[in-house]
Amino acid sequence: MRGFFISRIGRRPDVDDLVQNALMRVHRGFTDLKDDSRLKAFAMKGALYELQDFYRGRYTPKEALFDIHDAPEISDDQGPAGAGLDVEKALSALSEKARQIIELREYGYKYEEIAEMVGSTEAAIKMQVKRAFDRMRAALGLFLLWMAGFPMIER
Amino acid sequence: MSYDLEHILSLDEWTDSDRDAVRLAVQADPDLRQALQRWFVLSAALSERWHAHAPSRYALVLLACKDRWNDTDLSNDERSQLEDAASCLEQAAGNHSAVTIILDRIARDAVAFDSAWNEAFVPVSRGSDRGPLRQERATARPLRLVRLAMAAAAVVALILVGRNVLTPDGGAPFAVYSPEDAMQKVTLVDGTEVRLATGSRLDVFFDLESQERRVLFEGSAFFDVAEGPRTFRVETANAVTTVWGTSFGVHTESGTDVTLVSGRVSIASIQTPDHATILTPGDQGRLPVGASDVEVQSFSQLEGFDFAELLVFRNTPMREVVQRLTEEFEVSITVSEDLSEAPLTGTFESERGTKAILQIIVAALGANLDESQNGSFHISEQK
Repeated sequence: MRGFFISRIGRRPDVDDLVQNALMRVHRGFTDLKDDSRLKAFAMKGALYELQDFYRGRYTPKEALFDIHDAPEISDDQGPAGAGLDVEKALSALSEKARQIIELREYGYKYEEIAEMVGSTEAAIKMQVKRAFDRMRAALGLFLLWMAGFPMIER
Repeated sequence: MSYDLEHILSLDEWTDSDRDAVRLAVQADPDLRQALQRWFVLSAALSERWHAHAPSRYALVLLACKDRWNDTDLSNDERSQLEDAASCLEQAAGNHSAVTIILDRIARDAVAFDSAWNEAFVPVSRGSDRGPLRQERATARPLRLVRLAMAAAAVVALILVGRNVLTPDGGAPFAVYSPEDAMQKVTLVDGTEVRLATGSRLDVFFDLESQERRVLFEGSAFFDVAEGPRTFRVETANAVTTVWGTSFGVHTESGTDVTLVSGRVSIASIQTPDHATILTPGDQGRLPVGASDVEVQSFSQLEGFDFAELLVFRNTPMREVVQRLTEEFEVSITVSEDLSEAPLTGTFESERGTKAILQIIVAALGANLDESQNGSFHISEQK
């Protein structure tokens, strides 16, 4: 377990937590292990689940940066039907590659890992993110003006 | 000094110190605050659509490894999850191309688990099983532009001594002296890598219980500090530098010079540790002997650390990058006029060689690299 997690996320303090949690998963699930010879498959499943949970909890910058009452929220039932349109425009302004990178980032992968997964370099990935940000800036600006109580601006 | 938007977007893992710094930055700069809010709105919207269409994380694991497991390996709930996820996989992958990439990644995670398991439990086949793990690791190794791609070529004997000393029951300092005739690369037990110049001295004090990381240093060195739960402190004769996962150079001669390549450090006089100056990437901080204030200036090319066998650029125009590489490798390299002012930020190991470094640079720039028969190179914009 330890060797596996180190090979995935490097030698860092989180490894000990991952090993402990994965072993707890395996221990709790022993009653479901019907064939002792399948222990490896059973342990692998627990380790892979644990790894996905690690990625889920990797980034929490949004909560940390803004006061709760001030954090931007997106919800389909907010405001008039046209309100979400600007977000749609912003999303449609993204290239397929940029959208893919942001999705992988939201999943919890690091830029370095994303670069390896898509066959690029970390610097190129960061540059894509920066470009994506620049492209969607104007469209989202309109949406945020509405969120702040300003009238919608006609283009 | 504060974090700018580009630096914040490029942060990979947010430490507590990063959060504190960004909090201060957004409080001081309404434009930055608004820009970040915009970004979070977009990523939240994408995330929401992802959750609406893509399989759950556990379902992705089941899908990626379905050929590895038989029915008895899965619970009833897992079998049901797998069936549901498989039925909508095509549509999910159509809406979100990242789904396919994640499935591929999880499948490779499973290969890595196989290898780790075999290494631990199948000693007879150890030799033959090492191949796939090494191969998987090799293919997983990315080309890293900003972070150092340091080889783990530290002196084995020193590492072994270090491990013996740096146990929770130990506590004695671990001293590393650089050899007389060559730069030495050392990997500390927390993963931090240090390139020590000849005649430098590094004393390491790691307390694994409190997780305090502290080193005493004199000479010239380049540090690539591994992230950890506690800060990493470099103390020289007159300064204390506090680090949060970063790469930087230190040189002590008539004072202390700290040159920051990536991440964030604070530097203060050892007499007034609470009076610290924050450095951001591209800053060079100097604290002369006897002084309490740090002098800060910017650098575009890191000079004075040739011993580390690194080429460091910070927003350096390509024409200067090309000039530096030409001098370093004694080979003709040219860049087209439209790219000559393009800024480059990156750190390269000289030992990678001309072509490998140029390939990384053109990948980052989205440019072309042409190699002529006489061995010269030309970088031009992609058509």
